[in-house]
Order: sequence, then C-alpha cells, then structure tokens
Amino acid sequence: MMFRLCLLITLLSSWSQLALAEKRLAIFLPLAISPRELEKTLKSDPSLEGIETTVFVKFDDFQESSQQKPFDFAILPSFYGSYYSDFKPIFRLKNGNAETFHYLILSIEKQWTLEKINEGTVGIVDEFGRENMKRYISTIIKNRDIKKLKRVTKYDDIFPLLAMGNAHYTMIPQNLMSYLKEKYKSNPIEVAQSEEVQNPAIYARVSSGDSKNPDFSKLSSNSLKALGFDGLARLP
Amino acid sequence: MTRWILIFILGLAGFRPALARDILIARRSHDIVEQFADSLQKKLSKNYSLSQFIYEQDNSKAEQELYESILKEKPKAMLLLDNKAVSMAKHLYDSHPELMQTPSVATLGLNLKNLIDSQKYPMAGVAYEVSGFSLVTQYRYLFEQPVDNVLVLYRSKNSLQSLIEDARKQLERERISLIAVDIDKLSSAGTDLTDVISSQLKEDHQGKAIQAVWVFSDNGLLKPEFFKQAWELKAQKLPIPFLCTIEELLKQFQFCTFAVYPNHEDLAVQTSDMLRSILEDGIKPSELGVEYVISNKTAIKQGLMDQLHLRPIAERLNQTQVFP
Repeated sequence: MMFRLCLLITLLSSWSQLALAEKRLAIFLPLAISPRELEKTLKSDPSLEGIETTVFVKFDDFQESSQQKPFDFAILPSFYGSYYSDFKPIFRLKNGNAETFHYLILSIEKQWTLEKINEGTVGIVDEFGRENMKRYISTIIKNRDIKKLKRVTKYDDIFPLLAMGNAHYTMIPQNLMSYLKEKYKSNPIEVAQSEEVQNPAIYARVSSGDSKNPDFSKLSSNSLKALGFDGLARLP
Repeated sequence: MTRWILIFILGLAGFRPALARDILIARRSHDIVEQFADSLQKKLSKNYSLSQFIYEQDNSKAEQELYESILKEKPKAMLLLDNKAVSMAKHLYDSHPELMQTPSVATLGLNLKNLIDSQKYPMAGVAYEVSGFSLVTQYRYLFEQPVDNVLVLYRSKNSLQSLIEDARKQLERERISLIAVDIDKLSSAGTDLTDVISSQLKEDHQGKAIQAVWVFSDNGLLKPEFFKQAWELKAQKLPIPFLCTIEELLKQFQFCTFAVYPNHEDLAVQTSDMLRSILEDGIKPSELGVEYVISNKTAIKQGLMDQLHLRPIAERLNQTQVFP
C-alpha cells in the first residue's frame, strides 16, 4: 500500500513538473536589440520561470516552429490574431499610456511622394506571411492601392532596401527610427504615417487551456524594456 | 467497376498523371546550388509545382536539353541559378521567340546587373554581389569606426562601372566618399599588374586618409599571382582593414578583417517573391530589373582585428561568425 502511494506521489510530481516544463513561449516582434540578448533577459525573469522561451527574428521561422510543435503563449504583432485564429490576446504591451503606434512611411528621393505611392514599390518587414501582408497594408494605409510590395525578413534589412533602390518607400514602426539613425547617416524623407495600429500583444493558444499559466502581469520591467515597452494592459 | 477500383487505389497512392510544371529550375550540379534550390522549393511548393533541370558545368548539350525540358514541362516561369543558365536562357529567347511568354528570374550569377537586359528579355533577377553600401555601412556600425573615405580598385573594361557608380551614390548619402581607382586606366599591354595594384593599395589617396579598402570581387584582379604578391601582402602591412564580400577570402587567408556575404535563406525569399510578383501580381520583369541582394551574413577575422586594434561592439555582433 505504502509502495503504491509513493509511486503515485512520484508520478504526480513528475507529471506536474513535466506539465510546467512543457509550457512554451514564443516571441516574434520587430526588435531593436539582438534576439539573443532578449532571450537572456527573459530567461532571467522570475515570472517566466519554467517556461521555455524562444525568440524569432523571422516570421517564417516562427510559423514553421509553431507548426512542428505549437507554442502555448506568444508575444506577437497585434494583427496576428486576425489572420491566425488559434491565439487569443490576453495582454497588450504599452508605452506610457499608449497602446497603439504608427508606421512611418519613408522615401529617400523627393520624387517619391505620397501621391505616387501606388506607382512605387513599398518595402516592409514580413510580419504575417506574403498574402496576409498585402491585406495588412491595405488595412493600415487606406485609400491607396499599393500593388508592389517587397518584404524583407528582418528590420536590419529595411533601410538597405530603400538605400539600394530595391524599393521606393519603406515602412518602419516609429519606435525603431532611433535604431535606424544609429546605424545610417542618410536622411530619409518622412512621406506619411500609417493608420494607428495596436501594439503587440501576449497571446495564449486557445486549445492550450488556462491551467498553470504564467502570471504575465508580473513581467519584470527589464523584460518589458527589452521588448521595447514599459507596461501591460490586461485584455478582456 | 475494376476501373473505379483502380482509380481509387491510384488515388490512395497519391498518383498524379504527368502534368505540366509551373516552375522550372535550371541549375548546375553543385552542393550549394542544390541547397539553395531546396530553399526555393520550400518557399514555392505550397502554391506551385516545380521541376529541376540539372546540368554539369561542362555539358555542351545543356542548352538543347534545357529547351527540351521547357517543351516537356511547359513551365509558367523559370528560375535560373547561375551565369550559364542565364546565358542559355538568353540564347533560347533569341532562337525561340515563343519562349518570350515564359518569364525567368535569375540569381547566384555574377555581374547579372550587366548581363540581364530586362527590357530586351523577360528576365529579372537578384545580383549575387554584395553592394559596397552594405559592406561599408555594416563595418562602420559593427566597429563604430569613423569611415570617411573608402578605397576600391576595379576594372572599367569588365563592365563593372555601374556597380561602382551605384555604390558611390549610395555611400555619398552616408557621408562616405568612395575613392575608386580604375586599374584599366593605369595599365596597358605588358604592364605588371602586381606593381599597379600594389602601388594603389595605400593609406592615403588624393590627399585623403583611407579608413578601409573594399575588395571588389573581380577574378581578374584577384588572380593568385596578384593576390599573394600584392593584395595579401598589403593587407598585412597597411594599418587599415580590408573588407570582402566573399566568405572564403576571410576564412582561408590573413587578408580580410571583415566580410559580408549573401544570406542564402533570405536570398531564396527575395528571389521567390520576385517570381511570385510576376506570376501573381502581373508585374513585368522589365519593371523589376536586377536588384541588389538585401540580406547578408557577416564574419570577422580575430587575428587581423587584434593587429589593427579594432574591437566590435559586443551587442551588435549578433550572428557574426568569428574566425581566428
């Protein structure tokens, strides 16, 4: 009897540890810091203890990894939920009180004005895959029929796209402008701003269930800073 | 009844009758090209069926075989993965005008910006050479070094002038002056190029201090006899870094302090997107032309860095490879 009880306790304990260890968090965001650095910061955050955290720079890598083994949680651009329904947003990342941002639309030659955007090629970082990016752009730049879209896989490549003439315009979240200025000395022209876009969110996988979720409201200020934000808003 | 059973069994076995393929990849038999073709297949196979025409570099009948392959597969478009494939496709467009309906996108070839006339042929492409802009701005950012003047040696007769002019304009915006020395203008028949190259590799030019040398990837200038006696010797002697766009030059020799070279995985995205914009968005190859490769990898040579007292900014190293 005693032996059976011990066996049961051991099994239950290993099962609960396994269940906790199995929780996986993915991050795919436009980042101004290296993914390795972000991963290191998040791994030292006590609120994420026992959670396997992986940072992705490229959308395709995130998608491929999710398909092989789904993540339980993910920190992703806000429109992700519109295109892929398996995730439900639970927290919105904030900067001060702001829960939204704009993309800046930049060009490098005066001739490429907002009026000519339909004729030109627009460069953007791939956040949702080729097809969804077209839908996304038509949502955030209204009344313009942008036909030529050029996607790159990471923000490191967005300015060269413009500087080397592969695109006539590029779009960059306003908070990444300082990174661009640190790296390049060219003076791009700010052609326009996109519609307001909601900040990235923390998502929970719908089919993953709610048990033993980490308490994201306790994410450390270091983690939030590394993600490029300073607060969180709980979503209904 | 037997016929329906047969159809049902074949269906279960995933049998597909011989169908025309959407995209034909023309490539030589080579490990790196094969890996690249695999990446392209991965990016495109969700929406398209693909087939490959693989040839040996010395196959003199490859062009005819490519033509037969096109007739058999009837592709909607072609992907050309080296200079030979580009050259064969151009001949076929010339000799079989009906093929002008089949657009192609090329990459992994050298000098594609000059070899492909997108106004004449239904061809677009991604140049395989890393631009001077990418090389120099990445170096400046990683090492946080002031870079005002960069030296490059090139040969105008090799029709590479346009790449130099592009780089000059692009770097000017970055407040970097490109000092481009045309070796063809300094040499004539019988001139010892080793001496010419050697005399031009110096730390000041036209009264301007040079902060880096861009080693232009031109086989003619980097021949083994010039390489040993001029390039390598000068790279080890001068107090300025030599920047390369070929990984092997950094790995194998005490020559390049820093290298930037194409990221094949991302190049596959750039190439396949170009093809999809032709097939799906109705964009003409002439509107696309040949564009620069955007995404690159970086590497540094520790020994030369130490010699030049250069230190990269640690948090910017990211995925930079470090070689001893």
